[in-house]
Amino acid sequence: MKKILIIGGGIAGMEAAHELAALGHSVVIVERKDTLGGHVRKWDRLFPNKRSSEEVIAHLLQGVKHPLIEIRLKRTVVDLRRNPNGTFLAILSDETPITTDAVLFCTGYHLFDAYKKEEYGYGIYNNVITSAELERMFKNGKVLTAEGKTPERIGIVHCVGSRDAKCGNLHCSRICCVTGVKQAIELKELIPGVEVFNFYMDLRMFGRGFEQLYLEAQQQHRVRFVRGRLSEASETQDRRIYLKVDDTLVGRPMKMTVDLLVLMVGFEPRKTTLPLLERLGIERNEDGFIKVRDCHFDENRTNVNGIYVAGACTSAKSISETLTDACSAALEIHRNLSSKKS
Amino acid sequence: MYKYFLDIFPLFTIPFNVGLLFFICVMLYKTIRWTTEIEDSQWKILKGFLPQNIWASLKECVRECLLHLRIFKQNFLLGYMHTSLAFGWFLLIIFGNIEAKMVRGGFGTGMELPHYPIFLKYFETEGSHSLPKTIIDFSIKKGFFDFMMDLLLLIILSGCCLAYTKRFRSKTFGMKRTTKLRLGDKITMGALWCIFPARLIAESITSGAYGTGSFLTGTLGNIFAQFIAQENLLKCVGPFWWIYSCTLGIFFIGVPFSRYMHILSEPVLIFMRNAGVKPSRKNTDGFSQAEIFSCSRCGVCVNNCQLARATEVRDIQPTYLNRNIRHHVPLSQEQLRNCLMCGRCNETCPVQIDSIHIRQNERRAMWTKHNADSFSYLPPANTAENADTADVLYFGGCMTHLTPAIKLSMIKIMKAAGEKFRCLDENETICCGRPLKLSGQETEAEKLMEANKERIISSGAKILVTSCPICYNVFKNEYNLPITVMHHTEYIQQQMASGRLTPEKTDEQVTYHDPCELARGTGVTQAPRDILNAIAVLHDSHKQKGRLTLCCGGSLGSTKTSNEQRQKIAKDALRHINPEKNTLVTACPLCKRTFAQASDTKVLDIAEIVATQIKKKD
Repeated sequence: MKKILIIGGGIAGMEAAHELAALGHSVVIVERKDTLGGHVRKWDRLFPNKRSSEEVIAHLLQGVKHPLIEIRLKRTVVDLRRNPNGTFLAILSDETPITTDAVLFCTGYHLFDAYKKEEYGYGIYNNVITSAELERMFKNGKVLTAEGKTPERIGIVHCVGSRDAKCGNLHCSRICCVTGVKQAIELKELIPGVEVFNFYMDLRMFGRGFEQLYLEAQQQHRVRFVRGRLSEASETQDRRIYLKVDDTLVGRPMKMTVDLLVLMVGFEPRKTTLPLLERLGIERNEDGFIKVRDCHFDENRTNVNGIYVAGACTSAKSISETLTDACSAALEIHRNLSSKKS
Repeated sequence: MYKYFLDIFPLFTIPFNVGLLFFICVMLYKTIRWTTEIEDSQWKILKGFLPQNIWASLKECVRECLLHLRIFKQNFLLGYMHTSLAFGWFLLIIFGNIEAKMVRGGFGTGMELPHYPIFLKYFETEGSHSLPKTIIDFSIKKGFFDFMMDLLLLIILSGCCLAYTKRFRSKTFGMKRTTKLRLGDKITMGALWCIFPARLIAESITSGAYGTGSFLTGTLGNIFAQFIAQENLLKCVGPFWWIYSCTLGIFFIGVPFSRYMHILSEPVLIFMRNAGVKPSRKNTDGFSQAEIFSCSRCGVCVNNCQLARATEVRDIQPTYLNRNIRHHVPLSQEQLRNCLMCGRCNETCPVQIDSIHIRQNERRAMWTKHNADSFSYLPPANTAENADTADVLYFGGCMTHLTPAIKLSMIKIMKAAGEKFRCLDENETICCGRPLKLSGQETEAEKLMEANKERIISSGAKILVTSCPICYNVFKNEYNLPITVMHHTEYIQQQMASGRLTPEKTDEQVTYHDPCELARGTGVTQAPRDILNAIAVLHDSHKQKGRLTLCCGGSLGSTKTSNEQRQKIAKDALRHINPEKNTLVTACPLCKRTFAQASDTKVLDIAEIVATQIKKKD
């Protein structure tokens, strides 16, 4: 029986663990938080069908209830080395050593630190929040301004920290477009009569059902979509947010005041895994995400033999894409380990 | 008669004399042209002859043209190389002249021909039979002078060796790369490299043939004499003096066509500078021409340029800019625009050429068309509305609007100081005009400046405070405002000194970064340090500070530097400024933005740290 170490207990790690255990391998999941589920735990309802995120996590938790799966919560991998016989020795933060035949990185991503885009006023003005914070409000069932009032007008800014060379991020985070549309609809449904403005560069509705969601937002909910990047935000006397933006379709500058400004923060490569990646010599792309061997045929292996990757640690992915990727990583590991003589 | 003529004027001195004559003619011609072609008042040239100005010029010529003290400050080896060649050669000529006087019978025997001291060794021996000679005590003094001449030659030769090394292994000098050369440079440099070895060999052979010479030429001559028969040595004397003369001739003729033109331009430039001549808005101006010709292409600017250090852009630096302008090579867009205009090159230039001004002139000349309607939308200054009782006008500037934390901190600080203030650009922001100016669009910038000026003056305030050093520079140096202009560091320091502002001290470890516009542009370096010493623990040991500060890479001066290059510059600068990873404090919204995006550590504006340390009064 082979043993596989999975770093990261988000949805990719859980799904891969389930598949690997089903294929008869022993799996250890190391998760730094005290629960499994990763970022998805923060979300309320998911696109495109508004399913509750808890449903997804419950499904995946069912999958990891397996005698071959061992879960180590509140621990991180502090050291990872390759042994001469090709196996790996991992040292956890509680100093336990784990010897494994393969390592699967499911380390995911960071959300962009919106404070770096200081002109949008995040961390300075109380009524500027991130998309993740809005999800938390949805979970609590109430969307209120910092002053506890029900907002009458809300702005949603797309591409914050994505496709922005000045932030050093050229990549598209992919899922924020549809998330922005989904959140606009949810706001409309939650707060009767609220005005919602989405400020976008372009809307990339790539997945099944996304375009329908976009149409629904416009036709049924009258969400206003303004093509233009926000140039700056400031606070008015009554703590509302004053926006300056170019409407590039009309070709004019536009000024407006909103009660709440939501920043659609993008994906950034996880910095905390850098020491491990560097020690093992795992290559990264220019954007900082882990580089896969081949973008078509070998998406789950890195340049280092025995080190596999799945999920958003290689690029921004939606939940369905992450789960598919995790399955394919599990199969890849299974195939490679089975061909080796034990 | 002919024989006598040949004795005092041997044929081999012709190349030298022709070269020297040419050199002197060019020097006179250029000096007259430059001094008459200045756009500044011609009276200033006369002012240069005032005793104190002449004295200052002479002093500077000795310090910089001969001793090269500024290069010494930059780099010891480079300084020694220049000093040994320039000052060594100068002394060699002086000693040569004195010795020549002695050989010819002491002082007061009239003018020497210029070649006489240069080829003294030849005349002492070969030409000596028909010349009057001998004085009392001659041998003792002669020995001393021979020794000195050999010593100086040795020093110059050591400088030559350094020059060869620098050309082929610039790393020895701590320089990443030395400058690229033109054909004229190569020929003249080749001649210069050969002059002193040629002199050594010519003198040594002569010494060998006649048994004269001191420790260097004498010893080398003896060695020659051991291997070569005296009659053959005698035959060699003539040809080697020819070679020496030719190298000198080629060098002198090559000077005006090469970078060595700086030898005769620099004294003129120093004279004009001490006379108070100011450069004009065109590079055809006599002063700017003298500056351009004075560029010796030493490469110090290439070495100090952050584009070269961090991004391997190595063809835009002043050395190449000045070279292309001088030789009428059209400037590329890169050379014009890919420059941060941070001014680090000016600060470190051994000749103190204002290359920023020269590039700015070129940028201005690039814009031939102007749109009369640009900025017609600017709101008129409403005098009635604006006139209010505020003592202080606060101008955040566009960059501060993109870093609202600074603006809010300043508002908190001014409130805490009990100031009557108003934000000038709260709603209708008008750019200060400097970005446009930097890009060369000065006609357009003037419109913005006029609009701002009207607003500022009509407000009736006494002090204008800005948070952005870019705005501060232009408000202070170019607006000619009738009210006091302060950067917020100066304002905060003043308020703290007067006791109106009493921030508490924190034990936060901070490093201060001097914004280039503030430190080099307006010379404000002490105020921020006073503030930080009073409210935090300032680590100020890094070398790249004050007027030598590094640009953050965000500069508005360049329209060609890519974001990727800017990130590289920022990261490289951070390595030098803040290796200990303290909280980085700066005093410019643009530096803050640029560094915040390139750094893992906390980056704050000085106003933010002051604002957080202000006591909450109940």
